[in-house]
Parts: sequence; structure tokens; C-alpha cells
Amino acid sequence: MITAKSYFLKANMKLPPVEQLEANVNQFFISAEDKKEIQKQLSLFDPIYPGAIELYDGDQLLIGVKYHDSVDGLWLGIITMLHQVMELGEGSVHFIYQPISLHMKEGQQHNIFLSLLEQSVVKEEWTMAKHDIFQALITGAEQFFNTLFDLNFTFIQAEKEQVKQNIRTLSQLLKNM
Amino acid sequence: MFKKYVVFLLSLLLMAASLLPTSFSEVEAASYDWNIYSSSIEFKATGQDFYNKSCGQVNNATQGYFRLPTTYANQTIESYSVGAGKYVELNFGGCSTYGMTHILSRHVPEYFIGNVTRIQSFFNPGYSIGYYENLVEQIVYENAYQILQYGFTSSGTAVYGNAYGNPAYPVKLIIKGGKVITMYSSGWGIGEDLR
Repeated sequence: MITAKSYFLKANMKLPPVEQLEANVNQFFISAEDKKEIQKQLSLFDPIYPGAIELYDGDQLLIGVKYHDSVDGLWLGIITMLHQVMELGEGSVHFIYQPISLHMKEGQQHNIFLSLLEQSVVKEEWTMAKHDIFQALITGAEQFFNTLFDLNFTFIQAEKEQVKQNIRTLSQLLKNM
Repeated sequence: MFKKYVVFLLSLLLMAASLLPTSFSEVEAASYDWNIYSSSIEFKATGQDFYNKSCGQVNNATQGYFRLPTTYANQTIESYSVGAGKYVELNFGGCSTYGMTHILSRHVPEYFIGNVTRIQSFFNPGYSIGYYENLVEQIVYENAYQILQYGFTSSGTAVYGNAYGNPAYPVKLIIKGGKVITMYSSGWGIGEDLR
């Protein structure tokens, strides 16, 4: 089973080398499920939130917090990427703070090729069942944005209904697959 | 004002002529230009070392340079008209989040605070804080039409310009929610993490 988990970077952190972050996730990040801690530690009025998405296939970590960037930027990009894959067979999401991107392409027999590119060079690539990765990312996006909506993060308020509608459309398309 | 209007018109013409990309694209990095150590960075071309600053030092330098009344994240440093009555804001921001302090603390060697991303790039040394504000302004006006179309959404947009007036030094500027998020060297000035 593929799962996705979202994190916000704690404010004013001095970060160690990116590899060490993964061994100390809770020291540097707040889970997006921990609304109490988010309210305590973060401003709700910024236009962007540094953070990370962890993507697991079972117990295997595919993408970890060493790829921290803008967590809201990543999720907004992932929603767009999933729509692109549904319509065109492939799509991409570009990180905001650095030249890294995720690329998703439809393969044979309901498979998806997911690639992580650093400066346009493929660094990691995975093959997974389309339904599984779509389900994981749609659920992950829904959970993340529900936190933003519940806590009234200001930057997303004007697009709240549009984001909800985009996620609903993806869920419906997944059911019809 | 007239200059800004001309720049805006020119950017419209360029947009129509060259169909500037609306999606983010990347440039291949050649090699590492910087060594990143635990408390300093080294510019390989000259051997110059730059010791890490604290976020507080970056905040103080930014507040002093622009003579700002506050250091609130949403303190406006400059705003740039992109047409249709809309303005992009360059805010004071925060070292890890957005705005002027983010650009300085993440990508300018003299103000780097030591927080490294997976792909970490730096501008060349020797330029003032004012240079970076001018570069933001220049890239915003060169790309006003694209920013007007896509820069006021929560997803935002990436636009490109050049540092040092030289196309060999492309620079990527991210605008999101009508605010300058970050600006960094694109495909050059990459640091190797040796910590």
C-alpha cells in the first residue's frame, strides 16, 4: 500500500545535512495532522510553507524529508500533475525552492512511472500501480488541505472551493478508472 | 513611471514574440562552483570563504539597508506594478520562507545562514543587498504579463531573467500569491555539500 504524509518545517530551524534530516524528522518538522502544534508554532498568514512529503510503498521510503521544499507548493503541483496524467498521460510538478521535479507518466497495464529529477537529470525512478499511487496522493492532498482549511490558512482561502473541487474530480475519475 | 510603462509594454511584445514558457523549466548544471562546509562556504573560482551568518544578522542587515520600521514578515520593501492595477510585493519575509531575507539567507554568499537544500545554489560574491532588490525589480518588469496571469494564485509562477546583465547567468524568480517568494541562480553557482 502506498501512503503519503505531509510535514511543515518548524520555524527558525538550523538544518543539518539533508541526509540527517530523515533520522530526526520530528525534531525539525511538524506533522500536518498535528493541528495544535501547527497553531502554536507557525504563522497562518504567510504565502508559502516550507515542509516535505513522505511517500512510502509499504515500509519502503520512496521520497523523504531530504527533499524538503514548499509543502503547499508540492501538493498544489501534485493535484495539477494528477489531472495532467488523467488527460494527457503524463505530468510534472516542479519544486519551488530548488531545481527538482517529479514526473509521472502512464505506462502499460495500468502502471505509472514516477521519476524524481534533479536539474533535469533522473535521480530515482519507480514503477507502481496507477490506482495505488493516485489513491495515495489524492488522500494525502485531501488530508493536507483539510488541515489548511480547518486552521484558516489565509493564502489558500480564495481558492478553497477550487482546490476542493479539483480533489473531488480526481476522486471521481479514480472511481471510474 | 514612464520607464516602467515602457518596460511593461516591451515585456508584452516579448511575450507575444517568443511565447515565454508558462511552465517551470530547468537548466542543466555544469559542475560545482562552491564547496559547502559546516560553518562556511568556499567560492572555488577565487578560494574566498564566507562564514555562515545567523538569521538575526540577515534580518538586521535587511532592516538597516532598507531603513524599515519593522521586521514583520509582511513588511513591504517594494511593490511593483504589473498592470491591471495589480502589484507584486517584495516583503521582508523570513529566512526559511520567502521574501528578501529568504533570498539573502539562502542564496547570497555574504548572508548565507547554512541551511542547505538538496540542490543548493549561490549568486557570485561581491554584490550589495540593493543589487538583489534591483534584480528582482528588473525580472518582475521583464515578465509582468506572465506574472499578472499566474503570479497571484496560490500555485504561483516561475519567471526568468539574467544576473550581471549576462545571459550566461540565468536567474529564476518565483512569485506566488502576488509576493516574491525566492530568487536563485538557475543552473550555475551550485554548491557541493561536503559537511
